[in-house]
Amino acid sequence: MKSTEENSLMLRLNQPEQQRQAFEELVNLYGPQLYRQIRRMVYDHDDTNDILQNTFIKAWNNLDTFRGDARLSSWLYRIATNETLNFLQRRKDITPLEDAPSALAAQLTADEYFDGDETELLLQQAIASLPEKQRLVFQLKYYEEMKYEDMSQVLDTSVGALKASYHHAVRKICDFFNSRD
Amino acid sequence: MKEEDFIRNKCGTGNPFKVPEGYFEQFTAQLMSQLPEKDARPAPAIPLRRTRYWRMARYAAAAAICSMAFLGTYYLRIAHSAHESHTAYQATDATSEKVYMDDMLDFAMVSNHEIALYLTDAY
Repeated sequence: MKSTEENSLMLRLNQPEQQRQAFEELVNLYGPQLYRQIRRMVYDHDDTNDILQNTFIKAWNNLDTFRGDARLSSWLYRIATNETLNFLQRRKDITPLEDAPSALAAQLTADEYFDGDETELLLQQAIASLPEKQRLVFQLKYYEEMKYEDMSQVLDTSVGALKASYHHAVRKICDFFNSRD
Repeated sequence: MKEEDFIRNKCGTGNPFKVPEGYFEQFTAQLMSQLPEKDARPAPAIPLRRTRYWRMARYAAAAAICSMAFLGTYYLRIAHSAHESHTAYQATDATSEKVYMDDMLDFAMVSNHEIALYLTDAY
């Protein structure tokens, strides 16, 4: 999104009479990409729906605190990422996964909303085997093509650390494929 | 990056995760109906600085009361024990002097008879 369009949306979000409609536009604009990002982390559609809903409710409740230092999209990604990590932590506490890739393969095969071939399934298994932070970095860079500078604001991590994290993630995924060939 | 190209060539960057038909339209409508009105927000929370001040003041008052109670008890105990030891010293003063004299005479190996003679100038 161009910064001028984002600025225009921000201006309307700050005006009480236009705030609600502007927020609806915000949900329509960023909903699908935030959904993709959350879904790639938690995999299940219903869980993704809950997290996405919480993300936008938090954004609405904290709209007054957003000062515009960061981009609006970065702010939303940051809320969504925190919500997702909290969810994953809670889920890990309840049902720790001993073998994440195998469990994920079974889950995705049974998921009616997963439409990937065998190679895609392997890629998802490879991504699932990564540490959470590396998974996040990989998804944001590989799929969303987010710039490291923006990612730095979302994940509150230095650009150098993000680059290293992405490099490690890519290498591990390659190793995962090589071990299966 | 060579390894990144390997993944791109093998898997692409497509999105295998689908959503139910009309999901995003329904999501927006449902979400917007759930959002509270900005005016109907709950009462503003007490500012952090104010709550922190009152909490600190309460802790300080509790600490002061505890300190005063402790110091008061401590001084009372000291004063009481000083008084008791003084009285006990007075009571035992005469007795201890007698014991001291007896011990001294025993170690000097002087008999009572010799002492009597000495005291009556008959020695």
